[in-house]
Amino acid sequence: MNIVIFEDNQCQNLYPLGLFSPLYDVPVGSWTLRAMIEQLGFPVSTIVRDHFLFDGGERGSGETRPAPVLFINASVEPNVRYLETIASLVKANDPFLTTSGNRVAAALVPPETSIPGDLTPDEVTPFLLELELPLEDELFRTIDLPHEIVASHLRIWDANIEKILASGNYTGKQPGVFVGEGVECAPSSVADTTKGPVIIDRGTKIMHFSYLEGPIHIGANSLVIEHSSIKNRTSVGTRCKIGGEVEETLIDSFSNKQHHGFLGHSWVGKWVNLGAGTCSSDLKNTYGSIRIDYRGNKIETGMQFLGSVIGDYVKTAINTSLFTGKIAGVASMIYGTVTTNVPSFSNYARSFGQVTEISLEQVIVTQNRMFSRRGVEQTEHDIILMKRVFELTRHERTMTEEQINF
Amino acid sequence: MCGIFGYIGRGFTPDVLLEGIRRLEYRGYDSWGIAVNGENGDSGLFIHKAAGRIPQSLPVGIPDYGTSGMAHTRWATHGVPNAENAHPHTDCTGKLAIIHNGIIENYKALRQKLSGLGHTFRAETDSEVIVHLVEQFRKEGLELRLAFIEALKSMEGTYGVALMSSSHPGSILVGRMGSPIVLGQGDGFNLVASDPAAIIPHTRYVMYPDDGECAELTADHIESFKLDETITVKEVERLTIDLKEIEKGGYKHFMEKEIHEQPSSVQDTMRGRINRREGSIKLGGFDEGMLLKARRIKILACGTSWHAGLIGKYMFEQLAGIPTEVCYAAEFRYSNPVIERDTLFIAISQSGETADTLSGIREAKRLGAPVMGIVNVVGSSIARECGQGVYLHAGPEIGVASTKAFTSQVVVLFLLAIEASRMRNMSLRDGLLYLEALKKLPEEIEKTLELDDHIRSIAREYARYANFLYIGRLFEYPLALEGALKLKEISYIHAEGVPAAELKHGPIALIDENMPVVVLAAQDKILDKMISNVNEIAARGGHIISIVSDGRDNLKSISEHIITIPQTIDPLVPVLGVVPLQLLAYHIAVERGCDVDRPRNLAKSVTVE
Repeated sequence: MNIVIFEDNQCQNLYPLGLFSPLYDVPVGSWTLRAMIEQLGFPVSTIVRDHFLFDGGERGSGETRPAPVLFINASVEPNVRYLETIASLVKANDPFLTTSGNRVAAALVPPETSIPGDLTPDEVTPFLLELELPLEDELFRTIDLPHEIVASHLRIWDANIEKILASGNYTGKQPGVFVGEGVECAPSSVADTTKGPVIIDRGTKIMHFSYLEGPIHIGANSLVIEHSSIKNRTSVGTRCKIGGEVEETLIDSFSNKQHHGFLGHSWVGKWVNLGAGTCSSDLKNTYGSIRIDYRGNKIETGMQFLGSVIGDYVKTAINTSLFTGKIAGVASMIYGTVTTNVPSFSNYARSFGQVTEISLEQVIVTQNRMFSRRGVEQTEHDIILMKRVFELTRHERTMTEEQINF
Repeated sequence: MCGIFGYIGRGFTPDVLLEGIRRLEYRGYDSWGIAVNGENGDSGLFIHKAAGRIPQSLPVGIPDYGTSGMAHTRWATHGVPNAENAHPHTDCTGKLAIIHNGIIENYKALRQKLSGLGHTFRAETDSEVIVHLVEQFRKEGLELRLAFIEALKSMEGTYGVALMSSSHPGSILVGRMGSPIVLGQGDGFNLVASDPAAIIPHTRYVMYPDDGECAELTADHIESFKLDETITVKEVERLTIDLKEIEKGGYKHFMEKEIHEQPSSVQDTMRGRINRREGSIKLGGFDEGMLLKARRIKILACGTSWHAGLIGKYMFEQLAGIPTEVCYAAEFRYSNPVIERDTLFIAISQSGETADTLSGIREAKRLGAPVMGIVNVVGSSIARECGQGVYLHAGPEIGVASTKAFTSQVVVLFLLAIEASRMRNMSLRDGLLYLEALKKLPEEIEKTLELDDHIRSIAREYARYANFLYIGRLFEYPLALEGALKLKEISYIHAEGVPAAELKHGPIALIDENMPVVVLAAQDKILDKMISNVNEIAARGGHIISIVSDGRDNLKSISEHIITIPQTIDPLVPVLGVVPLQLLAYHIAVERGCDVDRPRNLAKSVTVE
């Protein structure tokens, strides 16, 4: 059995998610879909959007793919419970197609089918639908809009964390606390595991007077600074520096929230730096359901608690305040109070009367600086990708070229 | 409503005229007539007309000369069906003749004026004023074409009219306002008819004059012009319908043929419109933005099309959540309606010539609403008036009682409802499920048609009853109305369709051993309620004929007859459920010796208000 994880023609609805990495590599519930699918042990290939292709890249050569093939949508949430379902579907080997909302979530294509090797994301869904495969119930949930990643993270957390614990190389430090090799926890740090485990991956340091309330998962080689409060279904990636108060939030790798400030019910991408005092509100004064603006349409999320979705490479200045349910586009630099969504590659200082486009050169230079602080080399691919994403998100910006100088 | 036919040029014979109106007989058949123009003016016009059906061959005495002629088959609106009222009508000299389809609304005033000028009228029809008007303008010195134009300009109402003059044997003049006209272009000959069915045996190249346009046909040329005499250039189109499609194809009646055509006509209706790639429908032919924007839908229709519209209402509301109202077109036209913003009008008509529906459309447009049509006949008045819509592609429907057009209308409404739903909140999965149900329809109709013999035997048993009741709920309520209408139309038995729940609010008083009741209970959702209704009927001695879905035996023990149709989703139950009703009505009518294809007092396309 071959597995193809495919991005489809609705990926752009998820921006800023999936701009700097394919959607199957976007972490949710402390896992990624690709990592989860690879657990099954079958050969896995992918179909991604054009801007991820380099030097012939991952698009096939035009030859047909060997069937049978299980197609899985890259937006399917990496819910560990799906592994069992997928395994049994593969074992049965009966052709099927299952949907989620308006998307094809997965399909098993029988052996006699000729599958073009160079299918694009725009072509996959029509190709699968035209095969008229037997229709299954909706088996797998996809993440269709950015705010849904927060709900998904919280929904799948409990099952996922058990799996992570079971499959990782951890030692029990104390009841409910599981650590990898080389983890250092200051004696004054406190772990409350009454609601779930505290899992700390290798090389991570927990500084003095930190409060860790499980269930949480902190990635490898990260730092939780003193007096932090990391709580309840929070997932921190690798090489992160976290401080202040964080709850029910996922922070992707190489990101910093190193000082005081509240971050709750949010999703934070890679290489983000949240300046001291940055706070994200996750509850309305009226305690009502939060609505999010998507390109002029206000969508009712049905969520009482929802913070921000912060794209990769975002930087916030000190004391930046994000109102509930805001989306910060990639590589934006944010100042003051955020009362609307933030376009990608923007200097957002709306509360000071200005929102302008940030120069691509500035972003590339900033990326290089941030990379080098972590000992990571900025490659030609990084720069090309940055340029491509800048173009992809151009429509988000309708402003002057004027720059803010501090 | 009537059928007109005219032929000029190579190949003309009076037999051609007879054949032409025979092909139009479904439009009206209470009387007929022909006019033949000789080779020179002295021989005058030969006119023959008679009440009754068009004969198989020309009566003795009709000359075999002539270079042009015209013929008419009538459906009376003014004046009883008799020879005098039949067309063609001639003027006082006998040198001018007209045939007409439509209604001249100011004919009384014109007749009075012309009578005052010395004209003698022989018939009671409104049409007769046309030829006398032309005569009058000729007397006043106008040449023929101009006299014809002035006559048309004097009239109010609708016309599809052709004129011949014995002093102009080489031409036929034609005018159109509100009634269908198609011009056929041949090699050395040209034709005019109300319907392409009469054109097809001679040529496939046609032109459609617009309202307010006229034409002069000679053997070699068709010249189109407006009422202000400016010449217009008409596009020549190629007809694609097959002559075979029009003929009976081995069946005893067109209606029987058309009932049995439904697997293929429904397939044709869906062809190219299912968009599997998006789990939706792709109809084209109209601005899809209208459907997306619509907050309300109003359906305008008459008769069987109205029943289809009522099914459409349930579809739009249940699937797409769009509030929908179904209006009798004539009622809408005169009711001073309130139109809310973002209301989309959908007009349904098989022929595309239904005058009431056409008027309704015009009223809706006058009120600023967007309108689209669901029509079977390409290029028909309603299609043109709407300017956008969906064609049924069901093929010509000759039988007066509508059968395959109804099922195709329901299918088109379903397609529209799916498209509207997928634009809104319907999930991909639900869209795919509905597409799968649609795909199975032709095969399921085929299976339902296998019940023909069974239904014939039921029909024989009930053919002599004087009254019928049909009951149904939700999607099957409009079906009850349609079943009752079919029976009324062709067997002349009084029948009534009622919502099943309404039975106890009055109609149940009619139930006794003389009342057959057709119970429509094929939907899943309402089966339990229908069982209660059937028990009530059985308790009162009514004869129960139940139509149920495969696998549902609940009504078996309490029904005298069970007709089992394949299972399908509830919105598509009418497409399958109507087939037994059509067959039942058909076989009862045949058993009673009724003229199934041309029932009394009815015409195929009602082009009068």
